[in-house]
Amino acid sequence: MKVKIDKEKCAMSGECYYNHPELFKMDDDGFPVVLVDEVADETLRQHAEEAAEVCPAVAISLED
Amino acid sequence: MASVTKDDQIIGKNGVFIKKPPRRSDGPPKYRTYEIYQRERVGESTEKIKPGQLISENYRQDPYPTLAVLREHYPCYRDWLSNSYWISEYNDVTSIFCDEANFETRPKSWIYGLDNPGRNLNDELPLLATEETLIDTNAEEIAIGIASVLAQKGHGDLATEFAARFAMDLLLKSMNIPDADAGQFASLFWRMQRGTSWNPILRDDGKKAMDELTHYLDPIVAARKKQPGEDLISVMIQLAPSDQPVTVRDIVVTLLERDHETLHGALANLWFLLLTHPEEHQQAISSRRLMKLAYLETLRHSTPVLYAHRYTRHEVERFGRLIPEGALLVCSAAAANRDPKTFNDPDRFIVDRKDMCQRESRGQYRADGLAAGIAFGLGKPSIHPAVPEDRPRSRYALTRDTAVTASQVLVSHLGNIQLAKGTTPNLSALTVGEMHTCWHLPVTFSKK
Amino acid sequence: MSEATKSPSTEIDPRVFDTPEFQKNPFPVYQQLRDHHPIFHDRFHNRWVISRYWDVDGAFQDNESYDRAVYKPDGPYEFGSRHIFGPNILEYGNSGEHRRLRNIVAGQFVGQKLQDFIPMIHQISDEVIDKFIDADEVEIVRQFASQVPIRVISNMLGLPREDEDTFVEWYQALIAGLGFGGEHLMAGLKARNDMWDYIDPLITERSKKPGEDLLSRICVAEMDGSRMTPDEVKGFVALLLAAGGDTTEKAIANMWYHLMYTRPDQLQDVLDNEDLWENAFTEMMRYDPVVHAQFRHTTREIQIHNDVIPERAGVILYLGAGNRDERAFKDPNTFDIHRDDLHMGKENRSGRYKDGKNGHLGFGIGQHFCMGYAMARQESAIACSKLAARIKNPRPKFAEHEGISSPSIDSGGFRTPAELWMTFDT
Repeated sequence: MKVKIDKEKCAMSGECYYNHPELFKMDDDGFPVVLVDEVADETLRQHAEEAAEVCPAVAISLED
Repeated sequence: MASVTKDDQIIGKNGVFIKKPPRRSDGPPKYRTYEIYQRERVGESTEKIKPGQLISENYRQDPYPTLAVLREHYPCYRDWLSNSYWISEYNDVTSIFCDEANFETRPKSWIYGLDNPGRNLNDELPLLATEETLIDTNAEEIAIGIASVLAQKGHGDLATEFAARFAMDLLLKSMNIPDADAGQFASLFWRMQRGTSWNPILRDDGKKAMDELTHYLDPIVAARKKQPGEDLISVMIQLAPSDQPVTVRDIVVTLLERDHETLHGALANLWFLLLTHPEEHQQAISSRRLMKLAYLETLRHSTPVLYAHRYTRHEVERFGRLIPEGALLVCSAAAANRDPKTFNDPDRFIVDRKDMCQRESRGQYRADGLAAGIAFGLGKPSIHPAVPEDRPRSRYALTRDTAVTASQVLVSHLGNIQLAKGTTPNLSALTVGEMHTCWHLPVTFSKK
Repeated sequence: MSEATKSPSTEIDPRVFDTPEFQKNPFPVYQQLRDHHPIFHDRFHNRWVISRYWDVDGAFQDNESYDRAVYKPDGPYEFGSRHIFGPNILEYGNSGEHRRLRNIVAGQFVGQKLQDFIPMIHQISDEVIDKFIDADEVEIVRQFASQVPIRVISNMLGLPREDEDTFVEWYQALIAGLGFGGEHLMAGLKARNDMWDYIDPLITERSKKPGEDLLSRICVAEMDGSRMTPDEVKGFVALLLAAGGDTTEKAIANMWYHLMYTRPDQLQDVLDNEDLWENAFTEMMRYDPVVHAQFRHTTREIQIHNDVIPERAGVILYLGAGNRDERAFKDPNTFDIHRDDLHMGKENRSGRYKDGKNGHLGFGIGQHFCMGYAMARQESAIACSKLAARIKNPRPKFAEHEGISSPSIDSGGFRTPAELWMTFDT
C-alpha cells in the first residue's frame, strides 16, 4: 500500500505526523513527508488508514 | 539492568553498588540536574505549610515555628515553589551529611557559573596546618585589640564592632593583608560571598567583585612568590596540587569556598543569647569551659547558617519518598537542631546541656552517644575520632576555640556587659538564604 | 556559558514572578525576558524560562527534548497519583500511553463529530441568555460565560437535563478547589467524588449500550484494540471540566472584556459582522491568552542562546510572552482584530499555515496542542454572537475596570477578569 498526500488540499494541521510519527514527519514548512514507501506491515496499514481518516483536509489517500 | 564494571562501581553506605559519578575533566563540573517543576495539588489542601511561608519575612525573622510544623508533619517536604525537598529531622539531616555516595555538595563557584573556576585549596593539609597556627597565634591578640577599643568607648555594638569585626580581622591577619587595604578587601570579600545567591543582581556584583579581587591580589601574589611570608597566601602559592602551580584565580576561589558566616554569626548569636538570658550569661562568663558550652549551645539553639543544599547523585528512596536524581535537598540545620526527638526542651537555651555532645556532628556517629548541634558551612567533618598528631584540628574546632577565646577576652576587658537601655535586638536573615543572626546588638559596659 | 555582565536595570529579580503585580500585568517582565534574557535561569524557583516566540515554538515542537510528564517513578510510593483529576492524560509525557489516550478522545472534538453538537450549543446559549435578557445589565462572568460551557459539556456527555444544575455546582466546587486550595480543595475533592459516583453507573451502562453522546463514545472508542479504563474515563471527565469548561468560560469573558475596554472602537465592527467573532477569539488568544505558561522538563542538555540547560531541568515556556514578541508580530502590544500578520481562523497543531502568517501560541503547538481547540473556538463564537444578536447597544457599566488577573500564572493559572458588568438595551 502506498500513502499519498495531496499538497494542494493539505492544511498543515499536523494530525498525521503527530499521531503517527512512524509514518510521517514534518518538513521545515509544516507539510508532511511520508517516511515509508511501501506499507506492508499489518499494524502500519491500520495506522495509515487511521491517518487518512483523521486528516481534517482529507488530503491523504491510500493506493494499493 | 546493565552490568557495570568494577571500575565504575563504588559501594554505597548500605552495601548497595552504585555507579561512580563521572570523572571531572578540565573545565567546570557538568552537573546533571533533575529539576522537575511539579505540583502536588492534593497535598496542597492538607498542607499545613505553604511553600511561600518558607520565604516570607516571618520566616526570616523567626524560622523555628514554621520549621517545627515541617518537622512534625513532613519529614521530606516537597517545596514546589523553589523546586526542592526540605529535610528537617535531626537523624535524617545527619544521615545526608556524610553520605557522599548518594548526595553531593556543589561548590559556590558552580553557582557563579564560571568558565574557569579555579581550584579550591581549602582541604590541602599545609594550608590547614598554617591556618591552625596562625589562628592560635593571632586570635587572642586581635580580640584584645578590639576589646580595648570598645572599653575606651564605654558602649558599642557587639554585632558590628565585635563579631563581624573580629571574624574579618582574623582573616585579614591570616592573609596578611596590609592595614590600609583592610576596608577594600573586606568589602570585596563580602560582595563575592554575597553573590552566591539566587539573586542575579547580587550575582553579577559578586562576579565583578571576584575580578576586582583577582586584580587586587595580583601584585601581592607576585611579591610573595619572590619573598614568601608566613601567611595563608604565601602558603597557597607554594602548593602545587597535581603539579600545577597555584594561580591567583585559585586563591580567589579558595577564598570564595571558605565559610564566611559561622564565626561572625555564631559570635553575634552567642552574645545575643547571653544578653537576653541573664542567668545563662552569668554561667557562661564564669569559666572557659562554660563559655565553650554556651557557644556549642548557640550553634544548636540559634545556628547562623540555617541550612545547606545537597543534591542527589541518583534517584534515592529515602525519608518516605522517592527523590529524583539531581534533586535539591534543603537540609535544615535549624530544624534539626530543635528536634524534640533528639534534644530535651529543644527551644530553651541551656548552657550546660546534658543531652548534647561537645564534639562536632559527624553523621550518624555519636562519640559519647549524644547528638551534637549541626553547624553547616565549616567543611567536611573530621573523620578522625581523635585528631592524630600530624593533622591539624578541624575548622569546626578552630572556630569553636576562636569564638571562645574572643568571648573570654571580651569578658575580661569589659565588665557588666548589658543590653543598652531601650533596645530590643533580634535575630533575622536579611534576605532569603542568608545567615540568621543579630545585626545590631548595642551594649553598655564598664571598664575593667 | 558566562554572559557579559548586564546592567542592574536589565536584571530580573526572580521573586517578581510571585508578586501580585506580575499576576496582574506580566507583560513588562515578559519584555525584559525577551529582550535581555531569552533563556533565564531562575535560581530562586529552580527552573529555566523561555520567552521568545520561535524559542517557545521550537520547544513545543521538540517533544523529545522537552518532555511534559511529571515525575512518575515506579516506586512503591503513590507519587503523582494524587492529582485531583486522578489518572489522566496530562500526566503522561510523550509515552505511548499519552498517544493512546489522546487518539481515543481527540477525534471526538473535531470534524463531523463536533458538528453534531452545534445545534445543542445554540440552544444552550439561548437558554442562558433567556435568564438575564429581561434585565438591562448582566455580569458576564457569572451569568453568561461561566454558564454556557459547562452546560454544553454536560449535554455533550449526555447527562440528563434535570441534573445539569447539580453538575454545574460540582464543576464550580472543583474549579474553586483547583484554583484556591485550602478548604476549597476539600470541598472540591468531595464534589469530584460525588461526580464520579454519579458517573460510574453511566460508564458501566454505556460501555455495553453506547448512545450518541460523548461519554458513550469515549467508553467504547478503541485505538489499537484497547479502550480507556473506567478510571481513565472518570479522570478524563474531570479534566474535561477544567480544561474544557474553565478555559472556554474564561475565553468568552476575555473576548467581551477586550471589546469593551481594550478596543471599544472595534466592538461595533463585531456587532455589525458576526463572522468577526472568530477574529476576536484569535486575537484574544494572542494578546492575552487564558493560559500563559506551560511546563516542561528537559531530557538532555540543550544549548540555547549561548547558555546550556542541564539535563532534566524544569522549564517554563511563556506563551503569553511569545505571543507579544515583535519578532513574530508587528505592534504586538496592540489588540487589533483586523491584524494582518496573525493567522485568523482555525488553528492547527503544526503551527504552520498556508497563508504564511504566524499563529498564536495560546493553544500550544505540536504533540500537546489543545485537544478542544475547534470546540473552544466554535463554542465561544456561537455563544458570543448569539448574545450580540439579542441585545442592542452593549456598553460597559463601569468606566474603569481593574483588568485581567489570574490567581497565579505560576500555577498555570487561568487569566480572566474577576467581574465584567455590561449594560444593554433590547
